[in-house]
This record gives sequence, C-alpha cells and structure tokens, in this order.
Amino acid sequence: MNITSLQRRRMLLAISHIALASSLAACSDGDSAGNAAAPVAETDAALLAAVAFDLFPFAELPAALYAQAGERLAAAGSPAVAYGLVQLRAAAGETPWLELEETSRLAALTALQGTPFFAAARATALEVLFRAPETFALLGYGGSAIEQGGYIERGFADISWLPAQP
Amino acid sequence: MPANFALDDDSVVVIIGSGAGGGTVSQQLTARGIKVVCLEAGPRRGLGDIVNNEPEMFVKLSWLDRRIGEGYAPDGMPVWSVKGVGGTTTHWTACCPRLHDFEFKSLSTYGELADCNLADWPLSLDDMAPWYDIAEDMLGVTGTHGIERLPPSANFKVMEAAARKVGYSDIDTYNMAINSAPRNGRPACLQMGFCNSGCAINAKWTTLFNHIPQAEATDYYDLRPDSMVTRIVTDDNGRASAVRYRDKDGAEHEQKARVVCVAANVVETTRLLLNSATERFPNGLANSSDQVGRNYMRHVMGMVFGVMPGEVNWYKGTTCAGVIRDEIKHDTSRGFSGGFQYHLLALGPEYIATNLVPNGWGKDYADLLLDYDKLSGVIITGEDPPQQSNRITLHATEKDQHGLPVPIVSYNKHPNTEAMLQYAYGRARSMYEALGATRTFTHEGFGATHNMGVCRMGADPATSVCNSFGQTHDIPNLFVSDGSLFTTSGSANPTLTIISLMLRQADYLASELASGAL
Repeated sequence: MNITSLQRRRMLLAISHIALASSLAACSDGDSAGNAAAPVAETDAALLAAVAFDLFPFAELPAALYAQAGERLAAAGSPAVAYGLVQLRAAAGETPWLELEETSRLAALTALQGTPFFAAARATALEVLFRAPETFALLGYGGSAIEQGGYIERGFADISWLPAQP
Repeated sequence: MPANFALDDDSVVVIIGSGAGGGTVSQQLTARGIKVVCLEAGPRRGLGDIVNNEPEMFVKLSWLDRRIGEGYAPDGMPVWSVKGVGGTTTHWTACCPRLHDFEFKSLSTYGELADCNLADWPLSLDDMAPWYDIAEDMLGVTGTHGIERLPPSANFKVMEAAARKVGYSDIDTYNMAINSAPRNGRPACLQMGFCNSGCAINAKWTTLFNHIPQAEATDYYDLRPDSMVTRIVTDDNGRASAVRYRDKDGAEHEQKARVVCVAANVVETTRLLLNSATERFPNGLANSSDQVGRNYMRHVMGMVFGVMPGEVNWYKGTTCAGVIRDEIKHDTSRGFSGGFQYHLLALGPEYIATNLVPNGWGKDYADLLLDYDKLSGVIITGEDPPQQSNRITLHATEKDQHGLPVPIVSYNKHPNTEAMLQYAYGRARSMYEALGATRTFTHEGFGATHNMGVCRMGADPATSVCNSFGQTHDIPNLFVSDGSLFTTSGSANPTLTIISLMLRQADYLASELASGAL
C-alpha cells in the first residue's frame, strides 16, 4: 500500500493539532488584564513528533502515536536532541517546521543522518511505534500469543502461494 | 530440599554460574550426593516472569552491565548472554546439533590457516557420542531417541522450498530441545514463536526449570542467586580454596571450596580468572599458556531475509525449527575452510524495523516494512577461525559497579570468515530469489549469542588452558565448565556440546572426588 502525499499532509496536521491541544491545556487563559492568551509557538514535542512521522511515515497509524514519540524525545532533554532542534529550525527559517514542505523537511533530516540526534530520534520512534498494538495490526504481526494458546491451531503452517512440494 | 551449606564448609564444590554448563554440573554432582554451592550473579525468575514480548524480555533477561566491544564486536552489547538462574539457556534457540567428526579435527582436516590457532580437540566425536546421547535424551531433542520432529511452519516450508530450488536436500525441522509432544514433565510446543524471549510454558528446555529444580530435589544443592563472584581465592599450594562474592546488598562473603567450577560464560569466566591474579599467578589463574581470553570465537554469523511473493507470517511457530545441513563439510572449492549451516529464523517487527536496512527511514522504508508479513529468513552459523588477537581483556582503568575492571571484547573477522559469509549470503539470496522473492537482505554485526574458546581444551599446557575434562592444567581443583572450553567452534550451535562436555566433566570430577584425588 502506497500512501499519498495528501495522507501524509493530513497526518502532519493531526500531529500539530494534538500538540497544540496539549500546549493549550498547559497554558493559562490570558493575562490578569483580561487580554487573550498569545498564540502558542510550535513546541519541541510537536516538531519531534513530525520528525518521527517523517522517519516512519505510516498514515494509517494514529497521530497520537507520533505525538507520543515526540513527547518522549522532548522529555529526554538530551544535548543531541537540543542540537537537532536548533538545526531543524535553522533549516526551516521563518516557517514553522510543521508547515514546511515535505521535500524541505526531508532534506533537512537527510543532512542530519549520522548525527547523535538522528540516532536518538530514530531509536525513540522505533521504540514507541513498533511496540504499539496499532502497528502490530498494521504489519500483520500477532503480538502476544500465549493467551490464545499459541498458533498451533491458528495457522502456523498455513501458506497459500507455494507450489506443491515433491 | 534446597540445602544451606556453611561458608567455611570446605568440602563443597562451588559452581559459578547456573546456565548450560553450571546447571548441568550442578544437577549431575548433586544426583551423585556431592555437595554443591552454586553462585549465580543474576536473579532467579519464575515461569510467570516470562511474557510474549521481545523488547520487555530482552531487558529483563540480558546481561546489560557495561561491556566494551572492539572491532567487529558491537560496542554496548558485544555479547548477548543472560543474567540469571538458567543463564543463556533461558533465551537460547534450543537448536541441538552435534559437532561433526571433522569439526573436532579442524587442524588435521583443514591444515594450517594463516594467522589462526587451529587445533584438533583433545577428544573425538567417538569420545563424545555417549555423552551426546545422554544429553539428547535428557533434553528431549527431537529427531533423537524416537522423539518426533516438530511440525513444519509456514516459514519452514518457504525455507525448504527455496533450498530445494538451489539443490539443497539435507533439510528438516532440526534437532530441537523443544517438545513436540509432552515429555519428562514438560508440555508440547504451542507454536507461540517467542522462543528466544524465554518459553512461557517450559516446552523449551532450560536449566532454570529442569536441572536446577532437579538438583534442589536432592539435599545437596545450595543455590545462591544475586551473588556476584569477584574473586577465586587460591592458597599457598596454588590450589583454589575459596570464592569471594557480593550478595544482593553488596555485602562480601567468602565461601570455602574443595573444587571450583567456573561456568560464567566467556566474558565473566575470563574476567574472573584474570581478576584473581596473585603474586604466584600474576597473569591470572590457569593462564601460564597466556591463552585465557584468547581464541575468542562467536561463529561466522549472518542473517538473510527474503520478501516473498505472498504472506509467510514467520512469527508464527517455533522460531528456529528448521535446518539446511548441506554446507556442513570441508570443501575448499567454495573458497574457504570449514563448513556452515543455515537454520530457520524469524524476528519481531521492532528488530526488523531497526535493522532490515541499517539506519533505514522514510517512505520507501515504511513501504518495505509493510511487507513484514511476507518476510522469511535464515541465520548462518559457521566455523570461526580461532585467533590470538580475538580476545577478551580487562580495561586498564574503567571499573564496574563492583569495582572490577570492565571487560573488553575484541574481535575481527578472519579472511576465511569473510569468504564463507559472502558465499553463504549468495547461496541464501539465490534460494529466496528462486522462489520469487522481490527483495533480499543480509544482516550481521549483532551481539554474539554463541561464545566460545577463551579457555580452550588441549593436551599441551603450553598452548591450552584445560584438559579434555575442563580441568585447568595449572590448578587441578579449578575447572572451566562452559563454552570457553571449545578448542574450535565448528558449525554447531554450542549448547548441546557444552552440556555433553559437562556430563563428561561431572562424571570425571565425581570419580576424582570419590578417589580422593581432588
């Protein structure tokens, strides 16, 4: 299944909505003079969530998974992550990362291959995404089997496409 | 009933480690009424601690203390072994081949290889056969003793069909210490597919739920988990006299010993022998040959995966129940000495996503990963040339949490290994392509699960550490009781050979104790 760039754009929007929602939840409602709260800047977690998505872009997965990866990486607060954030924002210039064209995002990430930031972002994305039940379902992986008595009666030997063996 | 022997009881045999080696010697000696204190660095887990979750069990079971890897050995985790009662038999694949006759005679068969310590073992397949036989019965190895082999999984069917396409024919679901039917108090395999994370139902044999409880059922077994051995003490006569260890709270104790068996797997066995140096033994214990830590072998190892034309769902079924034996021979027309086998393999989605393409990412990679359910795979296990320079040593300054020098595992591939790998990769890729694979991949450089050679057996004390019973040449009451003993590696998964060697060692040790020689 190939995902279209429209699906990927939708995912980035979904990720930014989740990130915005949690940022707003953390803000107070305006100042003591009764003025409205200032617009929320793009958070580190939101940017890193978008990075997680660009690393492993499965539009079929919930945006919340990518948001989780972004939060985890942001919370780690390592120098490697701080470095990455600076580099990526510099590459984005005036544009918030989440509004950047995909080709520009990928180019900026490609330039960071081999850095400790890239390794940390990839490792966190792997940890969060590939232990999630939604991803298991997407990949056709059964997960824990003991509760259902293993696969001895659930097709461990089934295969439909092999030619008959001698 | 578990026993409780006094620290100053110098009539006990102290065994360090409770895995394939330590667990077997424990069971064998206690069965003969010999008192054993077994010191295990890690915790004792129960069946309920084992869950069908690869990353969780990896963290739970693995020896994760700092080990430095150099060269080809990955830093961070050069060796993948288990810390806990049962040792690496908790996560092992349960593949139980015997070494072949020619593999005990690598020097005689292959001749000298450049920059290599090839040597014939000080025993032959004929010597080992009766012990292999007992071990196979004990473990319930399928394909032996009338035990039916495990049924073929989809992944096996793909491997077999692919192998036959390129002319291989010695293929079956392997000799596995995993029950195909209930036997000896263990249930039959349910084809869960989490074998290498610990078998949650004890269908796969492990010392943890077999040899250890059997030893405890005698009155002669005192197992002390969470006991990190820091030193083997030797007396003025140059004999092992006691073992110093730290308990869970960090308090230090000294257990007297009549005999000491070191079964701590290659890294800790080397570390312990070297760390126990004295004025009399400045190069470490049992090391007059300077071979302790050297000749470190981890097998020629690599994985090959194919993305097949349809679903395989390789994660369903006994993970490694399948073998291709045709290449286990010495045939230099292939461009290398010694042989290798392929056995069946499956891996979880996280490992595949991490490693299928090194540092893989992006849309193409995501599309590739969506074919997870079409993957099929094998792992290569081949003869690894022993080299002086492949060795385990102690860091000069860096210390661990016990104040002991951190170990360094230094390993590089011999040219024979590279040649064997390239050949083996090529044949396996052809296999999958012949069956219609759209893509094939290879993967290597992971933490070694087969670790051998650092206290090699031999007849000559100048070039070996132990005799054929694992008794060290330098200290008659000090034994090595794990895979460190292997003179060469052969192509066989080592555990069955370790257990068989230990059956033989225990038999010898028991008679030496009975006669008063030890």
